[in-house]
Amino acid sequence: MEGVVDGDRLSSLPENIIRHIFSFLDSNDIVRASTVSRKWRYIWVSMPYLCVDVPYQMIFNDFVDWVLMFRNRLVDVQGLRIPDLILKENHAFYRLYLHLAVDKPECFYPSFNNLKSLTLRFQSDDFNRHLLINMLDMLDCSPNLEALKIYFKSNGHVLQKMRISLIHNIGYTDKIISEVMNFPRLSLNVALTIVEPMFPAPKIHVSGETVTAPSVVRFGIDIPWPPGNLQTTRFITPPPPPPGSFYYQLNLIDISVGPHRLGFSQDLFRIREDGVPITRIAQHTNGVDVYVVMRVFEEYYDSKHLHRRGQRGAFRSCYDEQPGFGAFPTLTYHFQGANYVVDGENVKVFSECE
Amino acid sequence: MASSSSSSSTQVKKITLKAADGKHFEVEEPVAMEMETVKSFFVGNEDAMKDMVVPLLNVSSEHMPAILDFYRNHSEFRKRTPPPPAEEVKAFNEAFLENKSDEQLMEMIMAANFLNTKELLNFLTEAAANRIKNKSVEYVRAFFGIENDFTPEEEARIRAENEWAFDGLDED
Repeated sequence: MEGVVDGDRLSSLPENIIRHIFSFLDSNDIVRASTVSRKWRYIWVSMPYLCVDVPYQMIFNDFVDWVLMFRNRLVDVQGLRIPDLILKENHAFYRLYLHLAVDKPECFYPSFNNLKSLTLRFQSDDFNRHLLINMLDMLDCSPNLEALKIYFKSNGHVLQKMRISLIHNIGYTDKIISEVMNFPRLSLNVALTIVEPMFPAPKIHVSGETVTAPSVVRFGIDIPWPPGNLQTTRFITPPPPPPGSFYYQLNLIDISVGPHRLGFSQDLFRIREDGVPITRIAQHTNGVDVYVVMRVFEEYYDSKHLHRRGQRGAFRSCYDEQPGFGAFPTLTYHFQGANYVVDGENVKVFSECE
Repeated sequence: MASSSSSSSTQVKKITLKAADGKHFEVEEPVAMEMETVKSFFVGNEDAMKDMVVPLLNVSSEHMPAILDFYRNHSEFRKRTPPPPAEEVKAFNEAFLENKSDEQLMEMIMAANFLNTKELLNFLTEAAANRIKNKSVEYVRAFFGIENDFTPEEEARIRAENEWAFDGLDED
C-alpha cells in the first residue's frame, strides 16, 4: 500500500512559483524537469521566460528546431536570454525571433509586445554590426522592453543597468543611439548594454577614479556634471517626433555670421503644431529668410574682393580660393541657453568648382 | 489602544502582525509596509492602523524574525548613499541562507509569495534555483517533495526524448 504522501510540497507550491524558480535555470535544467512528474511534464513549454542556451553537444540550429517544435505559441515571451548566440547560424536566430514575435500592423518588424528583458551573448568572433543594427530595428517594436543586454563572450562582465555603453569604434553610433532613444518607454528604467571586447577598452576618468570602460552614453539624471565650460540646451519635447524619425529638435533663436547677429524673428524656427519645423536650415526649403545667412557671407567675401563664381543670390555660393586668405568668419547658432560656434574653416567646403 | 501610550514620543509607529500559529510580532511601520499584503490591508482604512492586528495566515512564526530582518537590511541597503558595496549585500544574503534547509527555504518562498514582496521572492526563488541547478531528476523530486507518477516506461520514453539534457550532471 502506498503511504499517505505527507504534504506533497509541490501541491502547495503554486505553478507561478515553479515558473519563477525555473526562470533562473538554464534550459537543460528546465527540460530535464519535465521528467519529474506528470504535472511538470509541460511546464517548460509555456514558460514566459526563455533561455536558449545551446547544450554543448547540439548546434544552435537543431536546438532552435527543438524549441520551436515544443513551445506553446500562445504564451508571450517576457524574457529571452541567448547566452551563446552564433551569428554564422543567424537564420536560426531569425526563425526563433519570428516564432516568438507577434505581427503588429503599425510595426515594420514583428514585435515582442510583452518582452521585458533581452539578453544576448555573442561569440566574439561572430561580431557583426549589421546584425546588431537589425536587431535594434526589431526592438523598435518592443514597447515594454526594460532591459537589453548584449555581451560579447570574451569580455564577459556585466555592466550596470541604466547605462548605454557604446564602443567608440563600433560605427553606426548615431543610428544606435537614436534607435535606443526611440524606445517608447525610454526612461531610467531602460537599459542597453553593449560590451564589445575586440578592441582594448580605453581608460576613462569618471568622477575621480580611473576605470576601464567603453565610452558611456548617459541619459537624464545619470549624467555627471562635467567640469569646464559646458553649455546645455534642452530638446524640444512636445510634440513627439513622427514615428520612424530620429530627429530631436532644439530651440534655435538666432544665427550670427562672425560677430554680426542676424536678428531673425523668434517665430522663424518655431515648430508647427503637427511637429514639422517651419524652417530647416539644412534644407533651405521654406521662406527666403534662411538665404539671408548666405547673403551675409557673400557680402563679407565680396567686401574682401574674393572672386565669386556665378550669380550672386544663387542656391550655392562659390568663390575662388585666394592664397594667404584665412579670414573666414565663424557661424554661430544661438540655441536657448547655449551658443554653438562653427569655426570659419568648417562653414565652407573646399572643392573643385565647375 | 497600544499606540502612543508608552514611553518616548519619538517612537516609530508599530504595527502588530499575527503569524499563522498565533504569535504576535510588533513591527516598525516602514518595515511592515515592505509587505504589499500588509500595506493593502490598510489602504483606505488608515484608522485601522492604531489597533488592528494583521493576520498573516500563511506565515509561520518560525520564519518571521528572519523575514523581518531581510526587509530591515534590504530597505537600509536601498536607502543608503553611496550604495553599499556588493560584498556587503552578498555577505548578508549568504548568511541569510546559511543553515536553511530545503524545507525551510520552500516555506519562506511561500511566505514571500503570500506577503507579496518581490525582492524577497526573487531572492529566495533564485536561491532555490541554485540548489537544483545541474542536479538529477531524483534530486529535484526529493527537493520539492514530489512523487514520481510516471510509469517506468513513460519515464524512459521522456528521458530518451530529452536525452541531451541529461549529460554532465553534478553529484546529488
